[in-house]
Amino acid sequence: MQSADFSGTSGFYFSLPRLLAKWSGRPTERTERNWLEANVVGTLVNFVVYLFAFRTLLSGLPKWPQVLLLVPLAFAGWLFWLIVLYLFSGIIKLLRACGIFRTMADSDAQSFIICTMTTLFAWQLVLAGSWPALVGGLWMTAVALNLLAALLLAPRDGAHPSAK
Amino acid sequence: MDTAREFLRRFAVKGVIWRHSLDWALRNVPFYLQPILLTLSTIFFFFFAAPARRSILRNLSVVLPGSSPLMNHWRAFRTLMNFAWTISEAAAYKVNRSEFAYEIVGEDLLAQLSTAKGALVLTAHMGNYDLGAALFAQKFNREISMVRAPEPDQQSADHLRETVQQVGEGAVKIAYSTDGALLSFDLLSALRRGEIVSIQGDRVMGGMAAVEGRMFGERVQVPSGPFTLAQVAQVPLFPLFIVRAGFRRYQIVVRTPILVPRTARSRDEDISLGVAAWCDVLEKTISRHWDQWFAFGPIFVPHAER
Repeated sequence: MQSADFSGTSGFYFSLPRLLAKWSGRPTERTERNWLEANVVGTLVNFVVYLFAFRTLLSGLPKWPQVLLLVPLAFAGWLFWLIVLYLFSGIIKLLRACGIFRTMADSDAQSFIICTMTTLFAWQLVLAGSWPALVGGLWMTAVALNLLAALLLAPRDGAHPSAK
Repeated sequence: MDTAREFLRRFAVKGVIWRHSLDWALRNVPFYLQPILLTLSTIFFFFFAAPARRSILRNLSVVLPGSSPLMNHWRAFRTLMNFAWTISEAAAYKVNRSEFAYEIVGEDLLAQLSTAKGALVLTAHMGNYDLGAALFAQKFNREISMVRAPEPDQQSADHLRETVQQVGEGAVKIAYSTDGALLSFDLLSALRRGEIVSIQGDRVMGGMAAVEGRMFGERVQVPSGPFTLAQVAQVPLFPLFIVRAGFRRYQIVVRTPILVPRTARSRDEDISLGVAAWCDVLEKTISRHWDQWFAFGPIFVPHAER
């Protein structure tokens, strides 16, 4: 079993926190063991999708039905993910047959498609205005900064096939 | 009709479909989507897996007496949430060879166990016991025979066996506690050959020989097999628990070995002393980690008699 020091730093998965860690002199090991990163990014992805679904499906309804449907919408989001992930796995198989994503792990390929989809939803939130535009803007800023960080880290990660 | 029933059984809470779905999800869901998807899945199973929820509530009413039913429902949810995390993390290791951090509490005792010439590991339905056995087998390069309660669904049992063997890279052998008298002889031979046998000692399933002890001031039935084996083979019983300590973090907790000697007293008296020592260790561990005690069935005698 791959194991790590229990008390040691757990590193990060995304480029932006890894770059920040590098600048502050901490290890920049790429790992999926960071609890904070998993929860912050996961919450933001789900929040963007939730707001997009709310805007698309419930924005035309009166206030009370909207309030009553807030919780069912969260479960609809859960089902949405199950279906979307299944569909994406089919798309990934298809892309692999065409020579794309061949060296990437399934979850990394899914991550690429999920982030692209979330960015499109975030863009729609930005266009729609009001306070959800802030959430959309936050996501798009985070994606842009992460891509920039990936570029800055690229010379270091270049040899690593799973560099992100 | 039978085919239809067989098909529907796959979708029962303990059916194999959920285990296959979990393997698929771990292969496909990025790690940062897992916390929210697991939380929503736990809410679903909190309502769908009513017998398990009720068992947790009954156990909690003894472990944490005086708590309000509402608070215990929240605690039952936390327990199911931890269960979801532990089975997911075991699957993540099987499917993706995901990294885990772990620390050992009782390192010197674990070292004793790793070099023991024949020993019984007494564990509980707590934390990630499947991952733990595999971890031990790999870390110390020793084979381990794991005795488990049988899964109610044959396909789930096959899937579980395959999981444990993959995770343990063949070093973990599984036997079922309902395999009968022949199993006792096999285990005794294994112990006499100097091997390590791991048994879950917190729950008695149908047909298993049981002995009574006390935990949290209540009568409790635990399997008598491990104590009889320890006495006959004259090997120590090492209480060992694999407790989840956070996101992909575990604690391996090893406690002082329990000895079941052969003295001038009656055999039952010698065994009851071992049982009392085990119940004491188990009670202390459950008090601390009640949210990781996955005993989804009646444990305390008054509950079983109802």
